[in-house]
Amino acid sequence: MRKKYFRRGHVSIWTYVIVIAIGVVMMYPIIWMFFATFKTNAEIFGSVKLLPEKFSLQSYIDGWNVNGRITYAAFFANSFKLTLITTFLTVAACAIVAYGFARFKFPCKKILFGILITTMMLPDSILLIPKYSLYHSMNLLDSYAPFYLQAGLACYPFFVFMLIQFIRGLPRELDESAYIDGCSEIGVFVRILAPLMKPALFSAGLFQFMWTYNDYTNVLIYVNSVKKYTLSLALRLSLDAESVIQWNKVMAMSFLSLIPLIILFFAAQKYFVEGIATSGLKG
Amino acid sequence: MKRKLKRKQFIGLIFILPWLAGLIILQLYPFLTSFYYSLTEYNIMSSPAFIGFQNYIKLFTTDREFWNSLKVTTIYTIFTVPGKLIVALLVALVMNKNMKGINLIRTVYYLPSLFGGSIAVAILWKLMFQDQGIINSLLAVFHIPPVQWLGSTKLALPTVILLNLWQFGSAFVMFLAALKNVPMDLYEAADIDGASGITKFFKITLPQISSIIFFNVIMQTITALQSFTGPMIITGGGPLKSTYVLGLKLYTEAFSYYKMGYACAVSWVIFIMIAVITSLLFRFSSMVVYYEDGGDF
Amino acid sequence: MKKKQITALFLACTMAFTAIGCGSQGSPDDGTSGQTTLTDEKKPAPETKESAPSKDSATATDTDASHDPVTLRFMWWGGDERAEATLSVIDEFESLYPWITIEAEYGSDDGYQEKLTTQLVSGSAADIIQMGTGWMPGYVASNPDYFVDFKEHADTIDLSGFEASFLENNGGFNGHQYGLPTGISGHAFLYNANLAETIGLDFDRQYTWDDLLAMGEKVKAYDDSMNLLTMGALELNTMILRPYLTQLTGNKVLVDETKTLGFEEADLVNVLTYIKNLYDNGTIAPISNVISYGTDLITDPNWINQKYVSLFSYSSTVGAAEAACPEGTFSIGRLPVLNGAKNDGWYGNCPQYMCVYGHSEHIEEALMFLDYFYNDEKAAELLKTVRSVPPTSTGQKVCEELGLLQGVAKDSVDVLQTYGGINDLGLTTEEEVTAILEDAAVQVAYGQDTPENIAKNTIALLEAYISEK
Repeated sequence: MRKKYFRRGHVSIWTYVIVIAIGVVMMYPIIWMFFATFKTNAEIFGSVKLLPEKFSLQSYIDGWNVNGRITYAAFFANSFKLTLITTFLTVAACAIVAYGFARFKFPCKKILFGILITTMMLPDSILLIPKYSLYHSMNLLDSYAPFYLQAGLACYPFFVFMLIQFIRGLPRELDESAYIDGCSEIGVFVRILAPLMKPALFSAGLFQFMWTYNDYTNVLIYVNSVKKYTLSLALRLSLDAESVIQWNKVMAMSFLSLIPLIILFFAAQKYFVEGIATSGLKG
Repeated sequence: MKRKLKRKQFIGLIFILPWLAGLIILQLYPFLTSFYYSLTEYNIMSSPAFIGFQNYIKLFTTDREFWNSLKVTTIYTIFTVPGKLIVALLVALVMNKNMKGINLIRTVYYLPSLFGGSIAVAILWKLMFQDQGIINSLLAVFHIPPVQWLGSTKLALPTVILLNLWQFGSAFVMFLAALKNVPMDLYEAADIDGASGITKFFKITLPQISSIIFFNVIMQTITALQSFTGPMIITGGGPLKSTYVLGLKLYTEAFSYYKMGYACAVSWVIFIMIAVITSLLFRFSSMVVYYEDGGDF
Repeated sequence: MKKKQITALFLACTMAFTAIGCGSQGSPDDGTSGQTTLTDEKKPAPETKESAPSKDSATATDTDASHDPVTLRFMWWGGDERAEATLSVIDEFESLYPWITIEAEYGSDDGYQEKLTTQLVSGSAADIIQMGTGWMPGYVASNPDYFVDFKEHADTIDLSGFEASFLENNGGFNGHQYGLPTGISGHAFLYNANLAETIGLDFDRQYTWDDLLAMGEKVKAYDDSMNLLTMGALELNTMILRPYLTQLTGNKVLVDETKTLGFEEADLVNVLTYIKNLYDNGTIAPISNVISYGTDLITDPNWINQKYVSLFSYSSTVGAAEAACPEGTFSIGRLPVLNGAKNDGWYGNCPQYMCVYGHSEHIEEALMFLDYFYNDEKAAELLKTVRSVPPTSTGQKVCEELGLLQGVAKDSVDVLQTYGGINDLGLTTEEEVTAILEDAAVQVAYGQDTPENIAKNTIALLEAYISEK
């Protein structure tokens, strides 16, 4: 068995060469961005050279201290708070809803599923103002509450649909045998399906983390106070056509803000690529 | 036994309750009002006045911009959806192998999707695609004359599409997760039968991940038909509206011209396009998509 | 039963998380009181700097007794320098009036208009708002109640520091003063002085549009890889099409009073043909090289590497354009005027307005802040020229004393003062009209069609637009 597995995974040296060559192209933007943190504006825009003329950490120090009142520490903290809570709520709520859709036959299910899909079809930008008015009337503005509320109420049909698709990929016999063993409906979900859905749950979590972390428009609209700004808003603080923008500072902070995402992807991937096949349940 | 089964089924309704509540509290009202607004003359800041289907009539008859945007959006969708999925699947297939440093390699291939949300991305594209940019400098090595990637009305759209393909990360991750879920014993049985790699791909891999392929097709289609941030950041819809997708038109009508009623009509046209395509895809999917639950939904 | 309990528990957990999320929001506005009226002795005395400390102590003693705390929200966009200066002014103001707290809501211009529109529509805008001049006619036309008419509050905010006609032209709408100009600014012509001297170009005398063509030729003759000008869609419209048309006809492009076109088809053909000539002889850099920079022309490597001699810009942005090309030496030139022009076509205006939200609960305090912002010497000293050359006599005096009124921004304002063109803010500058005019110019630049056909199409679009108004 083991031998076969490795045989399938065997790759030639040429595969390596191609994968790495393309990988360099994939990495170029990040590398460019890193070196741009040491460049003057004229170097960034005026030349195609990759390496800066000199290295100095000044852009990181200046960039970190936005002004006398606030530093990037606050923006990082805000981003993590918003993103982690939103991600957790999204994954939990969407997984439960997806379980309900994928495994039970309740009345009007087809219609409700249709509605779920339908709510994705209308472009978001048209809903911006009515949604804002709604949160205004609920007195939830200038806080992260709109995000938590949407996440906790599974208003992300993308994730519900995605998790439905994954659950439908798991054989029903698993549920049946668990019922025979005396499991409850929620027990089946928690003990049998959730562990098997780990790859899907982690990919959903990764996406939601990334999208919330990078979200500009919604945070801009719902949050007013600078002390509640997330990174995506903070990074644009100094962008203005009427002033001389120190791009190296902007680049330095953008680069720092990317690092958590890179680490997250690197660390989390062992969960979403760990399939059923290796856990041995289906063999 | 039968009674028990019935009760069991109703529990599903309890599980979807959070979503149902969200639908009723948060989503239904904005959704329905937007349709009503599409039937009104509605400047964002004044009250809407009912005008029937005039917005739609204007859209289809006198608004030349609309037909151009429709064409641009269609081309954009036709190329980005299959393009992105094929790239993502190919990369996922290679990355599914057991290579040294695979974790690092996967991260590297996901980087473009992380970078896509950065403010640096717009600057970098201009540096790469401008007249004396990085791409043209590379071409010059091979004695190819400079190409006007973003400045030419013919090439701007293909360039925007290309830059979109580059961010295949989300589809890639889902394919990776799906591929890992394909039972190994199926391949082992096929190996015993002496099946070739290509046969295994078409007979085992594709059917086994078809539900995720289907999901990605639906989602990418919806995203592509609604998209506007890519063109907005890279070309602003130009030159000469050659990348002016419907999503961008809708955004401009709503937030620059304050014509909310008209913008709602545009968005409902997008909605109907998506609805038609999606329902066709769902119908088609029942024939080709394989579910472990036996299609019992 | 057991199953049901677990289910309920699980759901309760989900809901609880949601509830925590809902509960964590802070209350955005602590001020529960209505308007606080001010007696005369508590009004700031902007004339004398020395009186400030005494005011400070005077107000500090009776704060708690006579004033309920008031929180104002102040929203603006701008870079680091502007944020720093504005925050300092807020601090200074708060120390003078300790019962007033000002929440600063600042950010970039990216999405600012969308956010503002959303807030105005939903009734949740900030008390004090920095406003783009181009958006104002649209807002005011839709709902005149959005903003406070400063003229009705002349006892709280002193407007005498502004030049009367300037004030009326900048923020005045049908006799109401809904906005206050934040500075003096306007169109500017910035040129590379070294290059101009080497090539033999003179922008300090009054020159015509045709002179510009001839100078463009001279630049090409000097170095074929160079261009006299770099222009994007925005510049083609605001710096050639509109002023040229106005100089030809003496009218605004769209006449607000009569809701008609201010020009004949032949006039438009004339302008578009001129633009075509500028491109044909290489006066302007090819549009396809420039268009992707959008409104960031100064990030073009050709500008940074001194391949373009000059550009049209605004007083508020020439500083950034100068800084973008560190190796060049720059000067401000005059602006082109047609021989026998019926109107100068160029005029001074302001980069943005300050407005007070009409539905604010604390209009009085918001006005007090703006009074301080515009008329106090300390405030002027802190604000410097972060919103262009100050519009008030106090601001100008202080900046003059500090030696801040120099450089290209100030020079461009001086040049503008010599022109008396008609201010075409209104229908002509509405975003939709701007888009139509920009399209026309860009089509010519790309050589998509003849100026005659493009003019016909453009007129049809403009007439359709007017008929909707």
